[in-house]
Amino acid sequence: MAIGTRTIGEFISGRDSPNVSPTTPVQEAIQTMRAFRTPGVLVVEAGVLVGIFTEKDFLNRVVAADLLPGETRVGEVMTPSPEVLGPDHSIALAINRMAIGGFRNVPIVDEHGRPVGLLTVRDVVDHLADIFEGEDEDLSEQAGLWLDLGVTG
Amino acid sequence: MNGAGPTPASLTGLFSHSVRELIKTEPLKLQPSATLQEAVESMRANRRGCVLVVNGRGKLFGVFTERDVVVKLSGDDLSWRGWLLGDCMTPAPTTILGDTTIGQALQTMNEGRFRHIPVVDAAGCAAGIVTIRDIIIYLVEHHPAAFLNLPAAR
Repeated sequence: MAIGTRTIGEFISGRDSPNVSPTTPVQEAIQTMRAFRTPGVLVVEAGVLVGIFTEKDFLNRVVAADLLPGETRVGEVMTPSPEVLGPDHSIALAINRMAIGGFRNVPIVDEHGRPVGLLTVRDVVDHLADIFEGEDEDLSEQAGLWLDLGVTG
Repeated sequence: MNGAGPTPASLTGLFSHSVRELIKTEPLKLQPSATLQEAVESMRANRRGCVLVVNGRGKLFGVFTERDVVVKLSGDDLSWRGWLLGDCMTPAPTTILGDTTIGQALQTMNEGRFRHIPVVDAAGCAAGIVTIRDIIIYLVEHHPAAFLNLPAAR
């Protein structure tokens, strides 16, 4: 077992997906973002993912455009048709997409396009920190090395 | 198919390389007397998620990030353009030095749940910013077998 081989599903299982609808006001979408502590929310219509709305979208399309967050609907300012991954993909693939695509949020959908969760850079950092701290039993060999180096404080 | 993954030995690089290697551009710096209008325009024009708030001598006082934009500008108050950065920044942020290792920076960011961390010199002057994205890119560049040679997404 090496770094990055766990599946995305292992990271997102058991937690709710931060979903909003295209008609949700931006202000409410931000409340969802804050409640879930994620840098974005998934925009879902009739059970299918139609877009993503991120902190960057808020800065660029709402704040900079002088739109009122309480009166603007997410569907008007979201990023439509975002790049997605599936729960069976490896976390390494998500790390690859975050690095190359510059995403902080990767929507995770099932084979029918139904959102099952949101993977964020926070999950990646948690994963790496777990390895450093030796909390990940599958990676104990590597964790032992970290301890040998005295880097876990 | 997940590829071989980096070996433990290669991963130790995170703790032998300093964050100085990650700092490739000058950070955005504004004084506390700057307006949010200036801060937001600077972030957009430079495609950055964070501004360092410094005094005239470059000493770091705070940070202003996209997260602060979300938290502070989600009301329907369009007067924000004239608000002062010094009133809206996150003051006294956690900082690291240029010779901090990349691994230590990652641990500090994980503990504090930061996505950006300012790098300062011994005098407390702002020298750069390290982002989680910088570290992820470093990982991918240094472990191509694990992160690049992957099957395409469906």
